[in-house]
Amino acid sequence: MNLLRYIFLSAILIAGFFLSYMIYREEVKVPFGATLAPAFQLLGRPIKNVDRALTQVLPIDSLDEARYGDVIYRRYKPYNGGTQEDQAYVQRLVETISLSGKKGFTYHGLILDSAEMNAFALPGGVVFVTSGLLHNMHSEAELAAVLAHEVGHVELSHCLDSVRFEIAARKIGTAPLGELADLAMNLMLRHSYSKTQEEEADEYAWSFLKQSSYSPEGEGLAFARLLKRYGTSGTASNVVSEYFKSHPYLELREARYRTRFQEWIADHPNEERKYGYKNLQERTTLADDPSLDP
Amino acid sequence: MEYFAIFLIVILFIWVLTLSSTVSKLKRDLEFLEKKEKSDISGVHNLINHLQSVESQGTQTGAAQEVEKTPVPSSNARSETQSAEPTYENKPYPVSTTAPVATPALQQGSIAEKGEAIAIKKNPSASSLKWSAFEKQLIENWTGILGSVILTAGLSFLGVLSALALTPFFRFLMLLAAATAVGALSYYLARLDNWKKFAFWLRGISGAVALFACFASAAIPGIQWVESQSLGLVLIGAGVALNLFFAYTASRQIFASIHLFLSLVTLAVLPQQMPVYALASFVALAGVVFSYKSFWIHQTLLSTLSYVTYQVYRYFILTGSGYVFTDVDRYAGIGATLAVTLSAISMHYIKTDIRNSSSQNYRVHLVSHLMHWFTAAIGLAFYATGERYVTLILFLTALLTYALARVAKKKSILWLYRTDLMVAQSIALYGIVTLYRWEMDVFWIACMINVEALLFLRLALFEKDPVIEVFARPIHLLSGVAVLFSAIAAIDHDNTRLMVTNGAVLIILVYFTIFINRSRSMVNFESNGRLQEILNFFRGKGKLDLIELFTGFFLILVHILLLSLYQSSLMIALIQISLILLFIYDRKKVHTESTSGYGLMLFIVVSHLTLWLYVSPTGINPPMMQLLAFMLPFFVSTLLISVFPVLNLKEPILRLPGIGLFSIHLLLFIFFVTMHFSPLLPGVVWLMVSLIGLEIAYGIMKKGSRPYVDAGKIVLYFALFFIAAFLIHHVVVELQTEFYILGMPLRMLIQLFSISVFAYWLFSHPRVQENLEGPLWGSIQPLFLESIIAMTVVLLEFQFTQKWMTLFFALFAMGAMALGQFWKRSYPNLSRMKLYGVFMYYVAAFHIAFLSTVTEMPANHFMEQSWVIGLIVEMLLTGIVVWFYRSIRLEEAVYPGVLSFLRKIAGLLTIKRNHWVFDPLFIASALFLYWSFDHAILTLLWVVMIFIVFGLSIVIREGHFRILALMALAFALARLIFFDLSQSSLTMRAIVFVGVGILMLGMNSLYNRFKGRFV
Repeated sequence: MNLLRYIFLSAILIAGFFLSYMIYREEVKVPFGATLAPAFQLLGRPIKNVDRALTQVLPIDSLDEARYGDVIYRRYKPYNGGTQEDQAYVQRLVETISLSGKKGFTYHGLILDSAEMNAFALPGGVVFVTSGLLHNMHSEAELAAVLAHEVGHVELSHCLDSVRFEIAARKIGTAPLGELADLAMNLMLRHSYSKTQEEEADEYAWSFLKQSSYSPEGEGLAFARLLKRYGTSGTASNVVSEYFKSHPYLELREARYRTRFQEWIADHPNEERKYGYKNLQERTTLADDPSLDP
Repeated sequence: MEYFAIFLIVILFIWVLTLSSTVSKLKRDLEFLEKKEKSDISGVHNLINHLQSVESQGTQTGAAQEVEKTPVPSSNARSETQSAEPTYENKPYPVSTTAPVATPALQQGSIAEKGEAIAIKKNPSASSLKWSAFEKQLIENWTGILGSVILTAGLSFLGVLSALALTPFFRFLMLLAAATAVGALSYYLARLDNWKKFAFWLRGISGAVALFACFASAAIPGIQWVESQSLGLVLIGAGVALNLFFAYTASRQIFASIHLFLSLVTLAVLPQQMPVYALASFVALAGVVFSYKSFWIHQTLLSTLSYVTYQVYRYFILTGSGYVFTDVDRYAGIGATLAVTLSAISMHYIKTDIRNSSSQNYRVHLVSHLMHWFTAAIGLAFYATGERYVTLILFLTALLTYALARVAKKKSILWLYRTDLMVAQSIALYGIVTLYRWEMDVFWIACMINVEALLFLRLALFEKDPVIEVFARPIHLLSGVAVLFSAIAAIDHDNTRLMVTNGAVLIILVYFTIFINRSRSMVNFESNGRLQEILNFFRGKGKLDLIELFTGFFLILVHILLLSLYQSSLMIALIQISLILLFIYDRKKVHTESTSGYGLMLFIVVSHLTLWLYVSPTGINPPMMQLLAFMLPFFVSTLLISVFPVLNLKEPILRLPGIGLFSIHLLLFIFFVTMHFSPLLPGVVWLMVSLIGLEIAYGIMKKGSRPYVDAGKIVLYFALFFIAAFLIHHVVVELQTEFYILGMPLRMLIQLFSISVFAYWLFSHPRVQENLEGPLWGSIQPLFLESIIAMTVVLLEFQFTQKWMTLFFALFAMGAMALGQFWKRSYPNLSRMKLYGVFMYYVAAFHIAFLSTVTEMPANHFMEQSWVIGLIVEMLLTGIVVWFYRSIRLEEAVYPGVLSFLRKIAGLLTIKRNHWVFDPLFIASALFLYWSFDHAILTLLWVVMIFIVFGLSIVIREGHFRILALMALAFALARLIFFDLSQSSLTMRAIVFVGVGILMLGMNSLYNRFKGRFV
């Protein structure tokens, strides 16, 4: 028994020394000295799952969400900015990405005239992207990663979760009550899982890129562009601020998808993927003209 | 202003007179009443005896009849069989002297008969006593005082009336004649026995009128006939002299006091020149000296009180008018003050009397003596010259006073000894304070006060005098506070010399304190009152002595002072080691109850912890060797603290901080050194150190004896401390890494490593567990199992997406049940894994029910489809259910310490397994099918599920399954009719109907085949 114990102990210590040596040799660094953001993301998962279950048991489905989305689309369509070419390009790209989804309704891609680099999704498949983002992305793969992230929010029902009571209440003609219930739920719970939702949407984008013809590097690059534009935060916020942050740190997201791509490319050394630099410049999607990116 | 002051003095005088007189009268009255009561009680006893004798003679008085009618409570039989009991008739009533009311009925009867005894029996109430005292006071004193005042006023009015017709000189003569007449009358009346008291009141009037005449002839217009100031003063002096004479010849102190007081009041009204001051001081001195005659304590008190009032009045009158005291004034003031007060103070020594030490007069004497000292202090303070040499005088005075106190001690006058000892202490403290005149630093003065206060405390302990100790301890503690604050105020890190000097002084002070305090003997006295409580607060009955606490504070201050010096670590470590040696020596050789080491412990803990504050901000990433050199003394000192107690095998106090501090230093040392290379290194190294700590603890415990087991336990707890540090570090630092090593995520590798370390902690040391006692270890060590589970879940959550997590939870549930089931005998701790398996089963069921369709990610591979994974999970969960029903027993598992609540849950799951284990899966499966597949074939899928459940009911012979399956089948058939028949396409309708039909036939044949199993 003692011998077994000593063997086990020696094995653990050797493994520890080896691990330490590897860390020492690689001089591994982390973006922040100390942060609770990953822990908050992790803790947000069970809460988000319960929240999802609540949406599931409500008498609403994708059809209700699609109707709701149509209303939103009609309301915001007049604000669609950019050139017609840009509009068509974004719409086409969103439609292409949404083909991987299960919701089954038509997505609408709209452009918001703003120098900021941002994108967001609304229930029912309405995806907004700012002209600033459109102009600052270097390749279609990067833009597709951002749009897939937003489509992910819709597909993973993050958007529906935030208006579920309103949609359900609308069926019995008490929409304001439903809005009030949504507001209350969002105020109470949203901060606890918003970072988890972002992480899931990131994961959705990564899954989309992996099974598409785009290079999965697009996602890491997209975060790198955002990071370049907005700069690194340097040090982590305090615990309370970290809890109330809606998104995970860009530094962590960029590092995550950069290293993931490195591992992916190591596993797929011969796989050819496209970035679509020219596609983006010419506002022609890769699906429509793969030859632009040889 | 002058008249107001006079008025105040008169009021004060009258108040003092009243008070003293009231107190003395009250005492006399009480004594009288007590005596009277005793005599009355004895009178009652006599009366009773008399009655008994009368009864025994057969005289049929009313009292005797009353006795017959009123039975004696202690012997009812006696009254009923009076004639039959000769003893009753022949013997007197058994009235005890200690219990005079033993036969109340009888007494009442007797007293009522005698009538006069009623008033005697009735105790006077408090209000009647007060009234009686007030009445006596009014009659005996105030009639005299007021009568004198009114008569004086009347004579004055008469004089004024007649004087209007006379020249001032004749007016003076007239007043003098009146005074002489009254005086003569008083002397005459003094010869008569019944008029003596009145005679003295008349003499008081005579003296007052004569003094008024003298004063008026020099100062009051209308009567003033003397123009020369000197002659006026001589005249007033003569008046004062007459009054002094009267005072000297007075038979009681109250009359003497009146004469002295009048003289002082008169002199206070005059311009405060030196001759007047001299005369006033002389009057006060005379007042004190006269009191020697019959040891008039109130007279002395009045003299010094009047004199100090006069001094204050004179001081403010003169300084208010802008007068600046000359040296002559000051020396005269000091001289006069000393003459009056010293003669008053000496009285208690010269006039040694049995009354001095009697408890009855103790307080009056104490107050009087303190008032003398107070008078001296005020007088000397007013006329202080501000010279340096005063310090020496004060020290000498303190010594002399202490010598006086020793005299009192020899004469066994305890109150006097205590009073003068405390006065000596006060003078000495003031003497030290005056050292600022020698330009001495405040810090040094505070230190000297501390030393002096400590010596005073030591004296109190040596003398075993609790009263002195109660005063000495706060003084010492306050002086300690003064040292602390003055040292903090003097901190100047740019002045290294000052820092070192002050630090050295503090260290000397600490050693001195320990040396003085180490052999202290606790004064134990019988009192359990407030005094005892106060002392207990200060000295903590051996638990926490505030002196020790202060030595701790001093040492912390030394640490702060020396912290700026880089070499201080060695110095502080040496101090610690020397103190520890002293502590151990003290413990073993001197006194077991002495210095319990809390101050030392406080210093050690704080100094060690603050050390890292120095290292952290100034020495971020210092070279390892430099950091090691800095920390080495602390490692050594903490090791010594850890090892010494083990060596002497007795002292448990320092072992915990010793090992604890060593662990903290090691932990932080590792942190600072490894952080230099990678922020991910500390956690891994800490985990390895925890294993080494575990092995060391095991090695120590193997020696077997109790101290080693205890020491091993402490090592064990601090090895756990490294685990806790790792967990915190992992959450705030390591979770964020996305780095890959050898193609694997580094975070995952660290988590796997931690799981293996946790597993070692969980499995490795059955022998350690045997040696360990107490709930802490018993609760913590088994929790490594839960740590492993938690870390595994975290690992999976970070590595895999939601759909895979569903599968992992199902596999985890199965694996956990397998571990708990197969290793429950070898490792009973693992047996509760079965319960955790059920929890995981719930999570997996929840996932397939609600999440599998809404967390779908884009995927190309068939196996990555959520519904495929969902079906696999369903199969696994079904397998778990079968296994659970056949062989899993949750209630036999081990649920230690804080997890004991799980036993209830396990019991519930066992008893109601149908509702809590199977039904959730049934519902989850139905929902999974509903949300994952086309609704056109849903009925068929549900019937497949029902068929499987029906089959299970045969396999595990569980009737609940069958009933549920049949109920669900009814629901499915309803759907088949109302939904599929109307809404499905013809093809789907056909498929569904055929499928459902076949399955129902299958169920029928199964039922017929295994009918015997349906119980």
